[in-house]
Amino acid sequence: MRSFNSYSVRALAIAALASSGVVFEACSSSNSNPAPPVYGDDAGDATTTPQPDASPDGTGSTTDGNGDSPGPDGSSSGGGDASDSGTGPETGPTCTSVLTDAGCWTCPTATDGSVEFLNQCSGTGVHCVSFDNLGRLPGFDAGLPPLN
Amino acid sequence: MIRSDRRTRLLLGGLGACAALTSAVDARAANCSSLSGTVIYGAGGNSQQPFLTTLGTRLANLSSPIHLVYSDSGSACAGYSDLVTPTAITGTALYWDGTGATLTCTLDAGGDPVTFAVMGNGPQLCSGITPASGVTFGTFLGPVQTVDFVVPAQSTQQSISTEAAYYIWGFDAVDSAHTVSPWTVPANIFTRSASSYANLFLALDTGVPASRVATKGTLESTSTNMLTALNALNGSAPESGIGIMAGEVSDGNRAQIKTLAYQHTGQSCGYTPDSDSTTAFDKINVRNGQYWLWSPIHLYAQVNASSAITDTATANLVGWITGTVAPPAGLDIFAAEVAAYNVPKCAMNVWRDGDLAPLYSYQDPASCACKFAKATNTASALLPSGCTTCTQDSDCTVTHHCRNIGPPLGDAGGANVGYCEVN
Repeated sequence: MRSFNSYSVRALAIAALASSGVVFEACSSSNSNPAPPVYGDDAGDATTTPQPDASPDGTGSTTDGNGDSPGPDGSSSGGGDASDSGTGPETGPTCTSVLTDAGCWTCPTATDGSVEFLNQCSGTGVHCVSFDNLGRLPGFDAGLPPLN
Repeated sequence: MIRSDRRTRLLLGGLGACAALTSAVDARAANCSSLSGTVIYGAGGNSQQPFLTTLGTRLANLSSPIHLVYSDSGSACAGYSDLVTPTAITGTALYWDGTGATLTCTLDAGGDPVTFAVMGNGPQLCSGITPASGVTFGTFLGPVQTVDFVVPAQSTQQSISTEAAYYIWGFDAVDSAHTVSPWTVPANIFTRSASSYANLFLALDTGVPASRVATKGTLESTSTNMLTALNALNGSAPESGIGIMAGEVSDGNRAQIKTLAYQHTGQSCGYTPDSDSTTAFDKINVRNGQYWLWSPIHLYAQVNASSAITDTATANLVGWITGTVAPPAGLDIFAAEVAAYNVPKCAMNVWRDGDLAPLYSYQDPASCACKFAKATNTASALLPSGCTTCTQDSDCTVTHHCRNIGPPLGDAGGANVGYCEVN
């Protein structure tokens, strides 16, 4: 059985915050965390424009086959717990090696490891719904609470 | 034998209708070792039971039938222990006939040794189990299954994060400072034992020890019981209910429960395993690496010095599942995996080496991504590039070949068909 102590809690909290920080640092020029992307029509917790296709192996496994096109800059609107739908077809961003302002990779993932895969921009028809840790977890701005 | 004699006496003595009913029910239970054809004994948890059902049914229907007898003794690690600390299983076990029904048979009084075990996780997550000395056990990987956070179907909740799960199963709403709305009722937070696959993965994912997870909320002994408990909240308090179970179970019960989108630490958005958690079974976010909570089914069996499984029937069974042995005519392993909401490795675009290990890009040398997409009625926008049915290579683009040619998917019958796959 894994042991768990306050150091582990701190490490987990730091890792969580650091990961988020890295993600948003890489994709946003402002200090505000952008709302995550939501694809399709029935997203619940946040809203953004659709994103372009990307697949982990570059084989085009998530092709945009129905004529929808992604937003112009990957930017997003809304957030929190609002229930809105996507804002419709727009021109997509070009492939870049960093996260877009919407928090996802526009290029096929090139680096093995979880972050690029987890945050790849998906094709039309793939939905995602964000969970707002800061808004919904008491005291999360200070990190995860120790288990005691 | 003693039990049987006692029951006979009870019947003959006419000691009550209840006793007679009990005996009558038991009388219908087959003896496991008397099942027709080859009998293979296994043990494990119930997270893989839907796959064992689809597989066991097909095996029972072979011209030379094989019956899987499975001891679900309560958790993944308990079944693994039965194999590696050789333990003869006793009492009753599950088996499958050709109808698809899950039935119960009676094990031999002296016990029956298991020759394979099934878990979703690796053995290193099972604490306190030391395999018998002088014996070697091999690990063999089957199709991919998911672990899902689930809520009553009537709940309006749509997503959860790693950090939220840490709060929920770390504190079970003990006070307002550790409560995630709307999961505010400790009794309606459901958990599993510290040796179950679902618990072990939740613990590994969040950093909350499995022993602690097992004490938070209401403990359910099986995922089926958790399903029943969550379903009971529909209509009364659906918002407050939450649990965790294998996707094999949740996907087959979408009228009762709903799978939440999961946002892993460092992830900017949450994803469900499928493109739509109510209507689709395409596992697109698992296959592409945006859904974090998955693992290949782990099969375990005793092996010799050459790493070959020692029991011949078990070696064939495992080989058919892993694809290293050609299955007998009439046995469609792919169909059994898809019917249990699993993903064959050949349809994966990412892979990992170890429980919740980092993902890396993967393309199977004998890809079945197109066949899987067609089998799961994947939306056209999500089909792999160049994916179409075919009968010859010239039907495909130059980068694809017509593979996996065989009878049409399902039971419709008709001429053989293939799928344009990469490589």
